[in-house]
Amino acid sequence: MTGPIDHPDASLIPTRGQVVRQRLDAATRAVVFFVVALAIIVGLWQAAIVSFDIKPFVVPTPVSVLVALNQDWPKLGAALGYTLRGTLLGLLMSTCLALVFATLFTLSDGVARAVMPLLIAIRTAPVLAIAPLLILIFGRGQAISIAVVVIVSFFPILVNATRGFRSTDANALELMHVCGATWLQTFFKVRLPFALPAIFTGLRAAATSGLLSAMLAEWLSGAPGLGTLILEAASFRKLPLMWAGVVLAMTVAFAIFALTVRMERSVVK
Amino acid sequence: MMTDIQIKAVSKRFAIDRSEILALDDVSLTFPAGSFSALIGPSGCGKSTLLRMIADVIAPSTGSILIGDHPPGKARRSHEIGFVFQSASLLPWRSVIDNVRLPGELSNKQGSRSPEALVDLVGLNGFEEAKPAQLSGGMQQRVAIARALALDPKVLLMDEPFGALDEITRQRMNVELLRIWKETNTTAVLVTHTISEAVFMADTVHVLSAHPGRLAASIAIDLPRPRHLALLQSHAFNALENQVRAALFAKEIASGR
Ligand SMILES: Nc1ncnc2c1ncn2[C@@H]1O[C@H](COP(=O)(O)OP(=O)(O)OP(=O)(O)O)[C@@H](O)[C@H]1O
Ligand SMILES: [Mg+2]
Repeated sequence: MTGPIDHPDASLIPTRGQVVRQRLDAATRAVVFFVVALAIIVGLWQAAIVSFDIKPFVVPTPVSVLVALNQDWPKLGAALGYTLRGTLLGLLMSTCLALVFATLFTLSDGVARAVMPLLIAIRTAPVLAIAPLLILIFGRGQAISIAVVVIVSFFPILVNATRGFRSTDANALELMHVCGATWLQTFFKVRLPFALPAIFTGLRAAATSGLLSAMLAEWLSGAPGLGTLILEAASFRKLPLMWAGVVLAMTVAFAIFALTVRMERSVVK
Repeated sequence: MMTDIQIKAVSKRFAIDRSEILALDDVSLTFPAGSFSALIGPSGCGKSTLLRMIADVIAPSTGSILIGDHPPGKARRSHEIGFVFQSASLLPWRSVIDNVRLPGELSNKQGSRSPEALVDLVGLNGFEEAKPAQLSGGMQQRVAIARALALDPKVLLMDEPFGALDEITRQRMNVELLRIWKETNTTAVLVTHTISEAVFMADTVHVLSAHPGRLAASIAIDLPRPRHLALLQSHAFNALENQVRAALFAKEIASGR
């Protein structure tokens, strides 16, 4: 139901059951759209290969990719698990870190002005250039994946969260003040809820680049993840395997993105 | 325990760009414990400013304010101030009932009425789970009143709470508000633009003039309580209305306009 009710009629407000049914319908529709879109893409892919006579050493057929996906699943699954763990841990850590910094920035303009240039410097240094340093600090295992994900995804979350915390409705802040609320109460009951949409905007931006960052870290470190697998498959000319890895990475990146959207829906009402 | 409010020689200056404006100039007033006072005056004369100083939102430039024997900060921190803002200021993600529960969550105190009873009191039963966006402006303002009453405040400050209401609902709410005020022994201050509302509600109507905001007159309303709507047609009521109107338009009348 939308728009104001000008006369008291409580029956116009949808019941909990109606709301749940609406949401379920939306979820089913999203899945159907995804499957249809996938089928169309695979169809076009196959059609392009046939009609333009593309050689299998340039782009393999969908069928051969599916076969590779099936045959090499143990290898692919293990690599995916490795990369996914680094990605999710990295995203979790950068979200926590970014929220802590955004909170500090909200508390004090001075801190913001002192720390921000440093963060911008870290963010703008090309990861490739600081790779030796990162390897020195974090080694060649999972830690460097997490570090690179944090470096890349920290900034969009921080910027958006800070903007969110600062744009809190002045009336609501005045209300909390008059009600004798403590700083912490005001933060959790007013500032955070007002900032949630902005925080999720940042999280969505970070989520899309998260998996890619983890794979980038593997190209530097050689850790046994999806990134390394794709690189090796390419150098050994195992194109169906490489494309199976690419398709897997794209699907999972999409799933992470969809997950953040779902989270936003359930948190921001 | 009832609490009075004393305004002692309070002035308030605001800096706007490089210039300064004098919003309130040397205002001295007492709101006796358990009384109902109305503030009336032209737009921009400093009514909201005065209320916000009593609520410890802003500090006077000179002069002092006492609630009971203490500065306003103490009453605010002990959750003794109920404030109805000029705009309803509800938290949009909270339902009606959760908005009314907010003061209780912030203080671990409880009022004599439950949040459910307060929602009922302002005539919004059935809307407990509605979100503010689903309510009309007047309904939102009633939620804000219920919220202000949540902890039986010693001081109830209302900034044009019924500005968004139609005449009929407004009168009903006024009668209701007087009943609540009598029961809770709170010291109430009501800012209003409506002369009849000020006279109907208050023990004393304070008239402010603008530029700078000064106290122009304080008119005692010695009408018997409890007050009923029939009072609106009485001669005594109309005479007091005229008295307030004369104080409000003193400048215009003097200049012959
Ligand atoms: N935060 C502020 N900064 C600068 N000037 C302010 C501020 N708050 C109020 N003023 C000024 O103080 C004067 C009084 O404002 P106030 O809001 O108290 O008026 P009011 O009597 O409540 O008016 P209305 O009836 O329109 O609500 C106005 O001239 C306004 O411009
Ligand atoms: Mg005002």
